[in-house]
Amino acid sequence: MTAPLKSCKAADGLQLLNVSKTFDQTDVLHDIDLSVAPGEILALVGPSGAGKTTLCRIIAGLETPSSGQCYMNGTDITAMPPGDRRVAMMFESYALYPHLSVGDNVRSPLLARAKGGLPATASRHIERLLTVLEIAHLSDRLPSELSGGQKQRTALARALIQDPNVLLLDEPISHLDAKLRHKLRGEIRQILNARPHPTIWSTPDGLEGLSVGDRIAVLIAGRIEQIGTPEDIWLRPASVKVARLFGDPPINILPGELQDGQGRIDFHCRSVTMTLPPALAASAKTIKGRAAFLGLLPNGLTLHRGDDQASIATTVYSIESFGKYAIVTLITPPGDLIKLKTADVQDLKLGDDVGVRYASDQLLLFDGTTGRAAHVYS
Amino acid sequence: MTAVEFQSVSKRYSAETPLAVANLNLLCREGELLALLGPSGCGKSSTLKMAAGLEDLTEGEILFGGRPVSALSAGRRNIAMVFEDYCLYPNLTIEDNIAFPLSVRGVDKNERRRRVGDVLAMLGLHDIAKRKVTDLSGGAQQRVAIGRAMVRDPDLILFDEPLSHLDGDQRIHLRAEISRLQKTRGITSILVTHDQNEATAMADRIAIMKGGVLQQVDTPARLYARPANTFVANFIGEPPMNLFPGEIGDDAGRITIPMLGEDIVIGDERRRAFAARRHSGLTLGLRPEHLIVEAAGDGADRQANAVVTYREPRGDADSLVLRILRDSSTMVAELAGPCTFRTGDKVRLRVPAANTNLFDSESGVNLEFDT
Repeated sequence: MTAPLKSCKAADGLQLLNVSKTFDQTDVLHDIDLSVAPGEILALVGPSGAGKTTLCRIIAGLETPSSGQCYMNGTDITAMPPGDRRVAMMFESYALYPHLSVGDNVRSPLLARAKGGLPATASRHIERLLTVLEIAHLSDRLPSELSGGQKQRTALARALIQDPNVLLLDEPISHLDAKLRHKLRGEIRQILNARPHPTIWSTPDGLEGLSVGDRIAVLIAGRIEQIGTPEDIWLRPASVKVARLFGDPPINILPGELQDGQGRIDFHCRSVTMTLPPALAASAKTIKGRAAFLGLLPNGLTLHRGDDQASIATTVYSIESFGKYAIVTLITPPGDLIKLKTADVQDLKLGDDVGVRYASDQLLLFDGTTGRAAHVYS
Repeated sequence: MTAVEFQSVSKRYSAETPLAVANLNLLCREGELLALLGPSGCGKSSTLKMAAGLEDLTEGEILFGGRPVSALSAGRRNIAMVFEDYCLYPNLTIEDNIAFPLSVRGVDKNERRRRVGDVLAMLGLHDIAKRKVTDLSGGAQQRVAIGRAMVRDPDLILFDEPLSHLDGDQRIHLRAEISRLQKTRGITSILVTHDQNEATAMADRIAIMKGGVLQQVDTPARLYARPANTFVANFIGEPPMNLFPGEIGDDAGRITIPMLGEDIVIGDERRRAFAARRHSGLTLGLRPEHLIVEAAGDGADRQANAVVTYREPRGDADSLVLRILRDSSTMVAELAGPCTFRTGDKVRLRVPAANTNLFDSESGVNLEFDT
């Protein structure tokens, strides 16, 4: 029996329709609708335990969904055995063959398909890939002789060498040091740009998701909270949970309530009372109750000395200087922490009393009951 | 408060291996948090272990407040350590873990209560002081470990990769917290980390090491703005500093950048820094956020010298990887995000002279670096 292709217009690529998964009466995935086009990279972003790995395993055929369907290029593969799917999956646990060298581990998926030996082009291809991943010098080592990061890059090479229908990268660079992570992120992305197959790249790191994904699917507690381009997710997060996942430091969230004034709407919480700028006041009407969250983007805040009506009174709690910018943590008299990103901390010291001003276009408003975004955009 | 000084310290583990630490001269000032930072094998961990008394020195001396300590065992140095895996006593409460170093030293009960109370207040853990530490998140456990290190006012606290077991959010939170606690108590501290973000966030100054050799010790801002050599320039900052060739021109401070088809004028003052050099080869350094990117085309007035090969959105900033048309080399720019440039766009790159660093192309040394 074939289910109707509900929202599935393009038959090419990968589609998931209403996929749910329950383990021992615990719902791990709820009604996942997802499509990844040929050549597209979908970044699957979510905190640990959100269900990212389960979703990858369902696509690979290693788990069966409790309900829902998976389609590949228009064919229902929900019941297809994993070996027939031509899905390349890089496991977070690496799953390297312990008795094979790095080179042989990377070669193994090609050997499984090739009849006779590998063509010379394959060897050159492998060598290039190992060089990009900076493990070419380890080609003869066994996995037991590798560090965690080197094992991860071997597993990544073994996934990237294949020519699959779908590529699944489950936290592919999470165990590398920051320097290498920054470098490889771009290089892998550029390798994948030339590929015809859909790719899912899962990561708990929101910024990594923004960097690598053509689109981003945010998965939290087994539900897709939002799917969109990096700009959508950054500028128009669908909920507080989504907003908190992106940005270093994450967005500041102040819980409070809305108060109707004369021809205006105020946001009031223990640290600040402000009149909402017109655009936010319009979107505040979509909030049913009075409870609201105000989101302050760390790079939309500025510091100044002295008293001012339009600012939040704070004390400097901590200063972290990064050269390019600094993160200043401020504490309000009632005890809310606010983080601010600034190019210049000048003569700022711990304990200084300072005011925080906010740019009105760098504020976000969320429903205090549901956590959903209230902002509407024309 | 105690200053810690490494005087000509070397460490060799065996006759066959090179020096793990080579002739290190380094001062950690009173009350300062100094980070040791470098790639693996740079000698930072060996340096920390020698300060702790866990490794002997091959040569040199370490002074705590002017007093040589290399003959003292670890237990007699009055130091505290904070490890990556917390090392708390799992069967004890938060309060008892913090009190432990005082109990074993026989500090009297009233004094103990006062000092533990101070630390609990500083950590904001007063209300849950009687809870078992195993009930806490990793970040909170590490804060207890820091409290335990601070409670007996040691001469020196050694932090060994204190954040590496924590997730993103907790890491960002504790990073700010360590820096605040250290400033509040003013205890001289040395931090070892491989993560430049952690080092720059927490440290007053950073010592950058490579292959056992100290490269530069400076504030994060100075390391970023004026790296001592091309290794530091590349190591600090993400994406790293652009390094590209320039040629010293004949008139007042003009430098030609052949690959961009651009000249910059650095002025007579800066030109003096390399007046005595015999060859004209320069390596210019420019941070990605200082590279000026303008839309351009094939026309004569604003002719393209590069094309966008890759755009990496990072939320409040976008990185652009650019291919230089003349020689296919690569430069990276960082713009406020989300920016409007897209892959394939032709652009004109300009180099603002004031933001450049000038390195000797042979030695890699910054020509304007004064120690």
